[in-house]
Amino acid sequence: MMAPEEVEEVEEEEDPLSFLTPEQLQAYVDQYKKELALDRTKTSEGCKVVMEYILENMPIDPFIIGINSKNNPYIEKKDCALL
Amino acid sequence: MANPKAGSQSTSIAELRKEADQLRIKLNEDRKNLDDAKLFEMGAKPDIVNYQARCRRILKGHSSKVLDLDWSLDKRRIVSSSQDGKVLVWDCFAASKEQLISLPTTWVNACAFAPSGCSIACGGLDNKCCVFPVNACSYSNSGSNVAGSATIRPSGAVGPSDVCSGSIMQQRKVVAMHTSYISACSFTHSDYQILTASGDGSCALWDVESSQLLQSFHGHQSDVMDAALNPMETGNLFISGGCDKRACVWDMRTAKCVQSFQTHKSDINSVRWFPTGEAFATGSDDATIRMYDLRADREIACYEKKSILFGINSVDFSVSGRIIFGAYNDYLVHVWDTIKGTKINSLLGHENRVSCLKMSPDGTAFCSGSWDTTLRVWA
Repeated sequence: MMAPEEVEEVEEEEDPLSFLTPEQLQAYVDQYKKELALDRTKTSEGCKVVMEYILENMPIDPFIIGINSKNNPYIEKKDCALL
Repeated sequence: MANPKAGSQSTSIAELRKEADQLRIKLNEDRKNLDDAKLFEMGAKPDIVNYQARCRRILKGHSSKVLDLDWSLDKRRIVSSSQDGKVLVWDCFAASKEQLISLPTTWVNACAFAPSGCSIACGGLDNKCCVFPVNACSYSNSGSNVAGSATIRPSGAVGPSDVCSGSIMQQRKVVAMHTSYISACSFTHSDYQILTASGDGSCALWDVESSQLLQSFHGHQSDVMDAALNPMETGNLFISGGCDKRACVWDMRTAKCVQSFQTHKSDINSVRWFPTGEAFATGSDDATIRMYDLRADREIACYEKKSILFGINSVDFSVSGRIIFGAYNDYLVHVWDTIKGTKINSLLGHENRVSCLKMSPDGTAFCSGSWDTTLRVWA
């Protein structure tokens, strides 16, 4: 793998690839080729999995359902006085 | 006579740059072609989330900015580290300090609890990550005390132990050494390996027993600000985010960067996995939180508002992933609805930047640490 040399970015618009050596550029090219070859799914599928997980787990999420003072160790319990 | 090598080298540089540019454009195109849905549109149907968290505990004890915090798996202990060079272990329920470790250097940027709760790791400007034993650690293994350590403190007992820094420094183990500051550290699924992220642009995996470097991960062009291990037991991936605005997904076995995302406009300060382990969120100085999906290989959500101009230092999800909490430089914790993309509310309490934020292991509360020297537990 390439050495982690600092790339000095003078301005936002400048191409970050301008200051690399040939070896580093080759590593970039290889990395892009690898990432291109990745087997991607559609965005809708990825979002669907996220949505399904969330909707399935909302009933057990303490911040969604709220916790009453009995189960939440951080909420001060109210004292009951037995008369 | 002109140097022929220089001539051929400059053409090869130009060719490589052209190829890299073309590949990058193709990559963006391929990702865009599969972009057939928007998360926020899909999220329009479910009901609105209403619960308002309140500050339940304020942990005071640091004398300077709190930089990082981590929960113990026992859901009740927190370790926090600060600019003042001190690492504190707290009992959250009782809001008391259990252990104080004074390090010789200031700016302890990172701290983490081991899965067993028996040790903590911390590091910062000293370029090192060290492991220290925790005094009262017999929660997971019932009854057995670590030799020489104190017995379990009853809750409510006040009094930090090991104030004498001499004895604790003898017990410390230097595990990781980088060539620049440590920005993040965490134990892997066991007490015996630590993942570190550093200002030297690399991440590394270390063996605690031998302090040996097991694997190092190079690829970021600038400081790495955070790294997070996949929550799945079988997960071999981890994510990192850095000042080069890139979020990278790494395979720990091959030390290769598997995917990378560059849509943020400024430094990424925090990366956190979504509970499924197939998506993650990042918080950045550009005032946005973005969510990336591994399988779709692109950014699927961006949480931003025109009125929010301040950078984010830390993000975390609620247990179901429905809520994202962001620790912002405007002293607030902004709370977002993950699937609708809207801001649910903002939590006011800290009196300076909120530097770190983490959900408890069972999701019943989260803790935030701030430059105002306090930590707050919200539930």
